[in-house]
Amino acid sequence: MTLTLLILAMTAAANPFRAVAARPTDTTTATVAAATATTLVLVGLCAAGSGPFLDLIDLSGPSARIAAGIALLVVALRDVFLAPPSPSPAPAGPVAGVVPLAFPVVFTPALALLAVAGGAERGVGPTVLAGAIALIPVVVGLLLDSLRSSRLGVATVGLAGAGLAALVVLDGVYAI
Amino acid sequence: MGWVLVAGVVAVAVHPEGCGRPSDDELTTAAELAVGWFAANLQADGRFVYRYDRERAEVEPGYNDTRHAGVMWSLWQAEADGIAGAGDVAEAAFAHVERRLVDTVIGPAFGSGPRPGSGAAGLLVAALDERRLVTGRTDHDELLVALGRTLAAVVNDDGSVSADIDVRSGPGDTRSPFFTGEVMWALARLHLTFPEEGFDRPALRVRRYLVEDRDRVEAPWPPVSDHWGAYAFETMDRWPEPPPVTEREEAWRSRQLGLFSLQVRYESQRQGGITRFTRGPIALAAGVGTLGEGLGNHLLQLRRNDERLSDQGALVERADCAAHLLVERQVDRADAADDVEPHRTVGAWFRLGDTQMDDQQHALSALLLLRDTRLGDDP
Repeated sequence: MTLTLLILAMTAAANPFRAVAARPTDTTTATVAAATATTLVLVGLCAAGSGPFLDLIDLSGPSARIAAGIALLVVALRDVFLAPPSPSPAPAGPVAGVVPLAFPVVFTPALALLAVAGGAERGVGPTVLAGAIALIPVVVGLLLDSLRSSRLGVATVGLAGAGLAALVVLDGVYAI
Repeated sequence: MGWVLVAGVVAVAVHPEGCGRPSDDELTTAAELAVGWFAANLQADGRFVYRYDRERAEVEPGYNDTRHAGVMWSLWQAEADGIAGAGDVAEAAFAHVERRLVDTVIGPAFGSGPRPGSGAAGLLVAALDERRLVTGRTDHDELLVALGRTLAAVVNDDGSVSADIDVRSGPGDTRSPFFTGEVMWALARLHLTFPEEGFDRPALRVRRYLVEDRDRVEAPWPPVSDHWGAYAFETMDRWPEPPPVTEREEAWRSRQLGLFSLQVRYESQRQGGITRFTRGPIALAAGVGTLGEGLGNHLLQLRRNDERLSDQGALVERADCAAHLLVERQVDRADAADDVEPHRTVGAWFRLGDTQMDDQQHALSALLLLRDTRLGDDP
């Protein structure tokens, strides 16, 4: 899986339009910073633990990519067909950045498995870098108060995610 | 959407891979048991028990000369690798060959009926050439060269290979997904043994066709993971002046390695339980064996030339996995204790209650090749 594909797949997994839709009222810069940091830490942990984790569940790197692609497909189809979440009533501040913004809104199971697959194939550094780049649209969207999520935006990213999921699966299928 | 739902969907689609790394001793023991099966199931006419139903304890009818030649090759390969007695069994199996050598308008062929297959002659060449290497005996040289000329004649101008030879009119307009590689391998071997005969030219024509045209022209589906082609490439790599690997050949090899690896990963997920429904029953040992043969040959070549170093670790994992599946699934003496005819089951591989001699043949060759890749032994 190329780094570009990993970045695009992670972007679709974190779907910035869905994150904006779920943005708690009174979101502050601290909230966004906490969400970003939490997500990146989780991505890093997944990437760092990918080797032992895959050994534990007897999965090869290519099969981990297939699993990540399938997870992305499921998450992407949800974004295409289901309504995005409503703004959370959670209290503003860093805590809201952790729950619910980072988890479960941004850090989806697809993002977790992509981090595992990326970590196994490319190592922790490149995977965290890919995650950081993929989170840029999320951060920008959350910081722009004027930006409102749209059903169409969520679905469009979901549709792209479905296509990217197919590419990730094929990458795993044809790999050694 | 819940993590549980995603985890559930992923779990249904992707299963743990039951892989491992058998020890060198385990590989050797499994190969010895397979050779033992051939020794125990050799018949007075030089043929082997072709197919056996374990539950009914019945030998089933049928025979295949191409596979007979393949068994002879594997037995000589085993003899070369130090498995005592394998050569004697192969030598006894030549009695069947003597009865089935036929004269065609392009030379001798091996098989029955009016149209013997070119693949049978190809594998017979491989077997007799290996015998020559192992024993130093040259008593079949005349036959080897004559068979080589037959094989050169079934190679068409475009490099495609006629799958059958009409005894009266010569090569037919037929193709086989496996005979192409078998004939190419035989010609490649013959060029090493008889370099003055010019067998390299038709071999190179087949090589070009196999890489550049075969999939487009013959359109096999699913795509062929060509273990015979892998044997041929590995052999050509040992020519005194090996042909350089072109970009298209490298792309073909990448695709082949992916196909072999994918199939090993898929097969290793067949571990009972839910996988009975999502993956179906285990594959034939012949099929798993061909995966090991393909990976083993490519690995030998890659290691010899220090190529694709970053892929070799994963390739070794897949090769080990194929060997592990074979070792785990083979019937050993303890497994056969309750069988009615244990001499028909010990050393064999069964699928849905049946075994066929090519199960033992491909598995044996794979185990030996994978052992060779570990030891760094070149053929």
